[in-house]
Amino acid sequence: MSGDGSEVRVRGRDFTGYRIGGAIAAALLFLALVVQGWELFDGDARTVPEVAWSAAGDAGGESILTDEILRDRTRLQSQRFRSGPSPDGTAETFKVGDAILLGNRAIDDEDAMLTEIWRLPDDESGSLLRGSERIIGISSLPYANAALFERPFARDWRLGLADVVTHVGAFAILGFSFLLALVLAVRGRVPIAKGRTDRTVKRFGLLERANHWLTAVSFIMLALTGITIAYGRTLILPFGEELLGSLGWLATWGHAMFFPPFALGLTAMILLWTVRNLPSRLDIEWLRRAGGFFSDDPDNPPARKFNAGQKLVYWSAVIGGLLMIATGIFLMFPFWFADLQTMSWIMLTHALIAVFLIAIFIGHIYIGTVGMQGAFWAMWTGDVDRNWAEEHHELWMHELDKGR
Amino acid sequence: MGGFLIGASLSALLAVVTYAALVTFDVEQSPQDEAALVALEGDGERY
Ligand code: HEM
Repeated sequence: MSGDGSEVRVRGRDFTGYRIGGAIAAALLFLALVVQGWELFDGDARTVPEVAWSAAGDAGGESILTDEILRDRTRLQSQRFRSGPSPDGTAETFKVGDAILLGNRAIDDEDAMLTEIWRLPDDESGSLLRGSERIIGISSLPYANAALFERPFARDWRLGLADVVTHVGAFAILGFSFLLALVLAVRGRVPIAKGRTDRTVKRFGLLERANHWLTAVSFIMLALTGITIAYGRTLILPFGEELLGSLGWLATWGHAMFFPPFALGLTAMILLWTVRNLPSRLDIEWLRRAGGFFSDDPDNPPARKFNAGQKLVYWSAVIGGLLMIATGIFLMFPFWFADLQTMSWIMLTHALIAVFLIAIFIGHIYIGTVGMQGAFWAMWTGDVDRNWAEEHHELWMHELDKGR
Repeated sequence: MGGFLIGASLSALLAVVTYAALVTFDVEQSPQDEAALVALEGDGERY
């Protein structure tokens, strides 16, 4: 193969439609990045703890400050203290909206007013309630932790999760998508430089394809539900609390539901593809030349069935996926295996790996669809164009030819 | 396309089975959960 480009029949920049699409996507993503950048400086990039408690108010959705509720409730209680629950029902009822919070009937079982765990914390829950270092004052309010003044670990954790990881994650996902769109706009698709032939070769069998899509569909559902859980307040709340409520509920269920299919797909993927993805010396040369990605020359660095870029994708899926599953299991069984502090770190890890995996797989989906001419069919029909195979997986192609 | 349909349906099917399992074996909120809620919600984010 020569490097003079004389055999180049299709050039990346010829894909005008794709390039316009890329330019539009890049512009929109740039806007999103600006908004995200703005978010960092608009004062709420660091979560400010909510100090006032409030309760849902009347049907109009207004809320009543807890101050007021506490005052009313205290008045009612002091009256009851003097007169006792009134048998003839003349005592006041304490209501907020339609909800009766304190009735005028006698309380049969005083203990029913407290959850068991508040009343008699056993060793296990007792230690949970003292999950981390605390600075505690004195309070007579009848709430657990009312006297808790500060929990330094909670503050660090919130800074890590709500503030750093959420913003870094948004930048990683938006920024990487922006770069990909920009590449599409400027470079166009990676072409089948020698042009399409009418001959194909089989690249993936039905089992491999079915399993790829099992894993991919589950991963995408986990990503979408996870993003709803993590970013719902920013992305969905502007469209209404009702919507956030419904989608949040769906996402919480969906996130647990798509874990088993993902775990199954990932396990099968490990069985099917690990051998082909073991590192080899070829990978160094491939990475050094960035896979020939940026040139239309058909003479790309040689690769067997999977090139170094694909191996990186594979190992991110496997290692990242296994870590997500492990941390996810801890999160599904809160406090079964870990205490409050460990749980918090596990949640942070889960979130951090998730945002990077999402960014990596946006890159994968890009190359598998618009980014590279002819790649998609490998996973859709299982057959790829001979010239595609020769240009991107030269050595694999030779293996196939020898096997014939 | 056959591969996609099989994979996507299997994913959906397993998700529904998981849902059914979660609903069937739903344990009452465990003491641990409850304590955790108290520990987290009532942790008095005050400075
Ligand atoms: C709409 C979404 C997706 C599309 C269109 C897509 C497309 C493809 C294609 C065309 C290939 C074959 C590349 C080749 O011929 O060498 C492939 C391979 C692969 N896919 Fe996907 N994929 C998608 C989502 C995913 C997701 C979400 C995952 C992760 C769980 C994933 C994991 C893999 C892995 C590990 C490989 C083998 C290594 C590689 O080729 O990079 N795919 N995908």
